[in-house]
Amino acid sequence: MALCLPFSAHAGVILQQTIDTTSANSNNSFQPLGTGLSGYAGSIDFTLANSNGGTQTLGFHILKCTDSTYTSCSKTSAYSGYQYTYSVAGSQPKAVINVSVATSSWSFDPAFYYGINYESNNPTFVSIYGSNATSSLPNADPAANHRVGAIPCSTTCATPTASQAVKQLYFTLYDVLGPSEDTTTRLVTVTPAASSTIATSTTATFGATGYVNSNDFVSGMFVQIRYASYSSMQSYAGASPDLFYTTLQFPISAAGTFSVSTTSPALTVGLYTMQSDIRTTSWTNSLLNFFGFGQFAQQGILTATSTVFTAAHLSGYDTFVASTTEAMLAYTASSTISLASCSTWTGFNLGDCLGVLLLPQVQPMQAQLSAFKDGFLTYAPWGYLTRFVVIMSGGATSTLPSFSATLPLGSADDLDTFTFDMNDMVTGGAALLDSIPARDNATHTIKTVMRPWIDLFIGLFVLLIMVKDLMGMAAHGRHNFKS
Amino acid sequence: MIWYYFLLFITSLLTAAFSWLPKVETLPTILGVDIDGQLSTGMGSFLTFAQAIWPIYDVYLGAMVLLSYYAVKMVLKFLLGARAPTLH
Repeated sequence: MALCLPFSAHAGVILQQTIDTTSANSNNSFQPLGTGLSGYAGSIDFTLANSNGGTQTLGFHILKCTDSTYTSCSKTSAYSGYQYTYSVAGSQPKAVINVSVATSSWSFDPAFYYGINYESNNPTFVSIYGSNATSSLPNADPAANHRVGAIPCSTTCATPTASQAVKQLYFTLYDVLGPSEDTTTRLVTVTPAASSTIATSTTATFGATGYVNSNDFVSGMFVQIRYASYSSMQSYAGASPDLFYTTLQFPISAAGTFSVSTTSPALTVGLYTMQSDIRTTSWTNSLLNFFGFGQFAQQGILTATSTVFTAAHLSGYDTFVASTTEAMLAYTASSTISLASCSTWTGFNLGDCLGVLLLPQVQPMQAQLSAFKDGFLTYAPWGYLTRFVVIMSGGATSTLPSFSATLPLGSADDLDTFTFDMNDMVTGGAALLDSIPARDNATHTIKTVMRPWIDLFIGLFVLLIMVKDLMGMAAHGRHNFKS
Repeated sequence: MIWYYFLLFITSLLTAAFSWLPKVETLPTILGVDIDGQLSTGMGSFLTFAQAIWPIYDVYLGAMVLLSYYAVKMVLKFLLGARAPTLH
């Protein structure tokens, strides 16, 4: 991963990095990428600086080659022009440039070899940079901050000189679009948020999101959140301040983004302090914690933040209002029509407004009916009826039982025990019956031919009973209608 | 949204009003017989049999649809009384 340091300022999945072994002074505008690549080449990173003030357009192709010699290569059919382009606008300081792919309909085929080729439309030179490992850059210019070469032109440029030739140029391809992002190991958010007020009756949610750079990741890394109420600190007379704190630890299993959370008791109302950090394991910390000096266990902290939050109790009415508000927000979020259609200020639309007000949304209605079934309908005594209906309408199957019979064969003394596997007999026999082919048609079975007709008959029968019931024709026929 | 909040209101009201009652998780065991387990296993065995002999399963599904229809009708009758949209 050290090779990608100059270009790794992006959180996407790295598809490939060029590892160029070009010898000095060669004009190498082609960088082999190898084979076995798959997925979508969303964006590309490279480091660039332009000191001569000229403007030009850099174009990048990903060429598809048939073999490892990279001699038979062609542009992909999805691109008649450049796959990635970047406009150099005058003098630019050295920076990592991220450009997105021009068309999203292209992806790698693992069976082929690929390479990056780049061109310029202007016979001037810009500096693009490679590894920051000076030992591998014999011709790098220290004053130019490890400048490794200048980009050659497509047709009319002069042959690059030794100091201008492209050597050990690195690209990093990502499978996502978008600008470069910060990939330093860091905490992005903590829960509860800084200076926020949370509602608690018994527990509250604690958590964090963040990013761990692959260079920082070690096995056993974890996120630690410690929190304590200020009021409990003031009234506490224990030996170690570490005992004030409730400590939560969340293991981090891999580099990259993480999101952790859990619920933990927060019984005291009032102001809390919370310390969140990303740590590696440390025997010093373990020792300090063991002897009750956890406040000094500060080894292996990669990044940390300290915040405060306030815990407040909610009344039953507040809880009801909060849950109702949450339900409203969830409902409107699930709707494909915005509630703004009912506002005269923000795009009023009578049809959409009536739709969002009157037409039931399937998912929230199902969730609410489930809540009704799992809540009110489970209370005794009617809960027994609910349970009975749940069992009767369930879809789980059970294996049919086996049974044994002891039968006399020939004489009364000649007894033999037979075991009958009902499950195998019924399901196996039925499978055999279902596999009987239809006449003159090898692709259909008796089952596939007969079942639609039987289903149609059953469906019509059920429909007829309902219609008959609704029309009042069951008991007294037309005499049901009162004149 | 109106129907959703009507349902939400009914659910919240009934759940809050009767939350002091015990919840039924399983049917009871009577005289050593696990009614819940026996019914669950029996129904599972029936479904295995019915799905193997598929016309029985299709008739069973039709019967479930019909029972659901009568259940909805009973709920409407309970909620709307004489105003329920049935003629008898």
